[in-house]
Amino acid sequence: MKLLLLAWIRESLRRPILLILSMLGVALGVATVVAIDIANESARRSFIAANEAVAGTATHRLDGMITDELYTRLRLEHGLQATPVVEGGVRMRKTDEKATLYGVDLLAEQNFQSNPIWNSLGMDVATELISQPFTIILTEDTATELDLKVGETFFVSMPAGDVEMTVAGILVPSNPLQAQSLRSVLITDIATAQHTLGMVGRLSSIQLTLDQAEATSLSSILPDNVRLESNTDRLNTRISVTRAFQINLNALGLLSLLVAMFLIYNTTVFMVMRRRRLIGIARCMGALRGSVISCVLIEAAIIGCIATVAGFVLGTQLSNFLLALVERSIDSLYFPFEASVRVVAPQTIATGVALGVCATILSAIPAAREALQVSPVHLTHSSQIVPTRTFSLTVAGVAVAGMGTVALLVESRSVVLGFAGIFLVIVGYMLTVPFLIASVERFLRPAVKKFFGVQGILVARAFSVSLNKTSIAIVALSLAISATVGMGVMIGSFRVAVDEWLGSRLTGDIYVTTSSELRQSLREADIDRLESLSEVDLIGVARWVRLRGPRGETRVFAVDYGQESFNGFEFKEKISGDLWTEFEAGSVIVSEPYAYKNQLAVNDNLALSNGDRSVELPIAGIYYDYSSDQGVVTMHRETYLKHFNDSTITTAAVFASANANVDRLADKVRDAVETEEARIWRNRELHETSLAVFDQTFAITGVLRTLAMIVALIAVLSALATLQIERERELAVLRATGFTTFGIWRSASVETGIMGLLAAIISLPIGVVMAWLLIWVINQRSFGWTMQLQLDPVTLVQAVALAFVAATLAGIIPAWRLAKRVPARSLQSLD
Amino acid sequence: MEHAETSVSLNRLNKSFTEGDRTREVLVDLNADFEAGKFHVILGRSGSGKSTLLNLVSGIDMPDSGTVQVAGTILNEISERERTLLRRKSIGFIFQFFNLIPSLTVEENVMLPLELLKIENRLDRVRQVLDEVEMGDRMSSYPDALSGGEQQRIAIARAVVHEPELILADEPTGNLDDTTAEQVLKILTGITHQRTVLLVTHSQEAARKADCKWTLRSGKFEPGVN
Repeated sequence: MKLLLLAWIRESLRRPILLILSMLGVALGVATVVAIDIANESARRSFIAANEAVAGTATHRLDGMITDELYTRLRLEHGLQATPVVEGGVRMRKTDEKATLYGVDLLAEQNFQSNPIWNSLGMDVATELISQPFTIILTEDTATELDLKVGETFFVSMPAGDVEMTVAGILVPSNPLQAQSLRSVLITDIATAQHTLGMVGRLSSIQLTLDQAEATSLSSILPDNVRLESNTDRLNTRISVTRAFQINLNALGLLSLLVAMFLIYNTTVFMVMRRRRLIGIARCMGALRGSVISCVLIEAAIIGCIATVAGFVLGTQLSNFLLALVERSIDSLYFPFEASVRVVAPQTIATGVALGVCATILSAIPAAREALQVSPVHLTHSSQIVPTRTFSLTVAGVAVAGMGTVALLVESRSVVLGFAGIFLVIVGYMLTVPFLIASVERFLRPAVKKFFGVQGILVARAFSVSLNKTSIAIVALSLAISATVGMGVMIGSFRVAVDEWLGSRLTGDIYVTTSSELRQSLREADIDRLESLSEVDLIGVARWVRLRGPRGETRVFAVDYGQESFNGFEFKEKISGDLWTEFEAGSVIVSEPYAYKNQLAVNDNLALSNGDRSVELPIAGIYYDYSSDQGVVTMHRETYLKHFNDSTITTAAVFASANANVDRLADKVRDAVETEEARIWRNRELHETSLAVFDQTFAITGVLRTLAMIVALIAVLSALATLQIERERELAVLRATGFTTFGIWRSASVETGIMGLLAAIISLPIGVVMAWLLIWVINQRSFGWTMQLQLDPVTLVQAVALAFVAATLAGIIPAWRLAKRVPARSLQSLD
Repeated sequence: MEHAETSVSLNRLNKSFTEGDRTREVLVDLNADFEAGKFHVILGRSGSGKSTLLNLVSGIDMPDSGTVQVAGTILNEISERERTLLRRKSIGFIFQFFNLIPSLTVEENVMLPLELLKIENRLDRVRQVLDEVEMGDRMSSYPDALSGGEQQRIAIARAVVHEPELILADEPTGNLDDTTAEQVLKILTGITHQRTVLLVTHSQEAARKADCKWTLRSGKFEPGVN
């Protein structure tokens, strides 16, 4: 066994390119999975770290329009343990890196002595922070990065100008997690933070330590624009709302590994076929079948182990990049987020090892079965063609796809089950590819012969004979292309839907918004001034507010933009009567994600409460909305005023008169609005910004698709390298009989071109099916969004071109090597 | 009269191959008893079924009907695994195209049967056999660095290293020039002295070394030639 294994492995080492390509494929697959896992886990830990670093032992947090006065009242009148926080983004002038300026009241912090951050600060530092304005504390890492010591000064950049800060102390975090969570955080006295961030008299939040009774009693005395939230609830919400997004990323990562599995399958089957003589000799000498199978699987395990280690190294590097993209996506989709922690968790290592090694061994099982079929009788027979088992593969494929369909038809909200169904459908389809290729090849053969003459016949015949090897390469390429088509069509459809949605919903020409929905109302006087502008036809007003719904916090849009704007809503379902009349009369309409997540239907009653008042309102319609996957409830502003008595205005929509110049009007609006923090958006800007955010959100899927494509290219390269080895003798004979190197090159290139073309033809239908399933199953279950499938011919043509170019490019090196090889050497080496 | 001991016995052996929609009868009701300790040469034209016969005797292929008995064991009556173990212990193979494992050195190639049988002191035995085939100085060479004659000598060493009862040789000189073939035959007959050898060939030179000659024609042995 030892010598047999040695012979086996030495055989592999004689083909180092194939080995390297296999390892590279698996390594990239593992790297993608590991990188996504690190990014996801880091995001999760960042939520926790941010929560712990800020909250310490505090149990609750107040958000919204918080003033110094409210804070004083809570401490003095209600005797609550409260810590005020002022925080905001700044930039380090020296490095132009983002940082968070975090203002705390150290006197209040004394009540939170169990908070480990403050324990490491000495009294002198604390005193200096309080007594000296513009002094800060930073962590050891940040100080090293900025090359700063205690007493030295540096500048932070703010829109209003640079502010000079002095280092009062350097904080030594108690553990690595804390060190990472406080990275790029500048801690200062609350007054300095308020001054620097332009928040004099206001606070970002207040941390509180409350029991349940205190929390309930506090809720009842808070102003409308201040929200009390449990830190645990806040953390759990953050983790749960991002879960679907993370599952989607994991599934995309597994796609690369799936492609890599086809690569391994291809290589191991090839290796076994190349070793039929070795297996035959060993079997003649009395080696048992088990020994041969062990050789196949041990080799696969070695490849898997090396590739997994390489994948880990690559994955940890890649995770830096992916984490930035995940950060951006969470920031766009859910809440402001900056990943402060990057962690390689034990489960990440376990997942990587399990997937890398197991996937490789699993992919080698067909090769082991192939090895079992090798009879020593082959040693005395010249024919080495192993029949392609297209029929059994097709039957298996249909069965697997059937299982996938059943999984998709099961009434469920599980995203994981949805992905499992899609994966099974795709794998099932891919198993039928050898049969499809045989059919297409039979159809293409006359054309190839006609256009490429004798060389064409050569290619067609070689193609037919080497179906076993080419079909797996085509499967790998088809898989990657179908993912590109599927994701491309889905994202394209989504983008069209968002674009149309923005077009129909952004009916105003200019929008005036406050920077945060809770902090500040637009002043009545501003609205009056806007209404008095001659170019203005109509001013619509709205209020964004959070109320308590049946399953927790609900975003409510109380709007009065007029009936024409209301007609911009597109409904998935609605009542049979006049919707506008119902809406005006007090019914609400809910967005599709909200209805899905809260299991609501038209004519159901929706209970809403703001703590003081509760109301039940009938649902008159469910509309398409892509602004948030948590969903929105929209009601007429009059309905909101009637039930909640809150006249705050957070958004004003300016409808310009027919011939008004919107750019000039925007300048006038800017002059008219005096509310602090109000932002003016022209319709076009808002539309473009929203689409830019959309593109940013989906940037990560583009990266993951590219990674899957790279693995597929490696698979094609590997398959072509195996073909090159197989056909070395045949082509050497051709060279000896007078074929030019160009002729050989052309023959090999035509073959790879056909491979690419076949991969594209095969991948298009499953790509479209994948897009359809992603839209109707995954998007629906993950986010509650549905949209129409938009088949953009450009996406499909691009996929065909991509497959063709990719395969042709992948064929260049093997073709060049074939053409350059000295024929005598090829003939000799195969004697 | 005392009967000579039989090493290999064939009883009404039939074997055919299907090629497309045609069936070709290769061995037809073949009977033979190969005496132990003799050098048997089986002659026949290309395609006469010589190699097929060796495959059946070694148990790597099975007859359509009839029985093959090797060292007292009827191959049809034992499992594939048992046939493999019998082959491992009792049979040595020599092929026309040598079939050395290219990724193992000369020493490792010859050592392989000993390793499979878990025999102790392998290296001493390998050295001894390689000296016998006059290849003791090429132990660390790889097969592709050897000439055809040298490779066949290594193949002979590998076939006898574990001292099997039966040696099967399939055209061992078919790929060699006359001089080298003569040298290889000399080594083969020397090293397999007193062992049962079944050698298939169409070389008359090899036939001259035989203790017993058999001629295979139309799937049967010609009568009276051995």
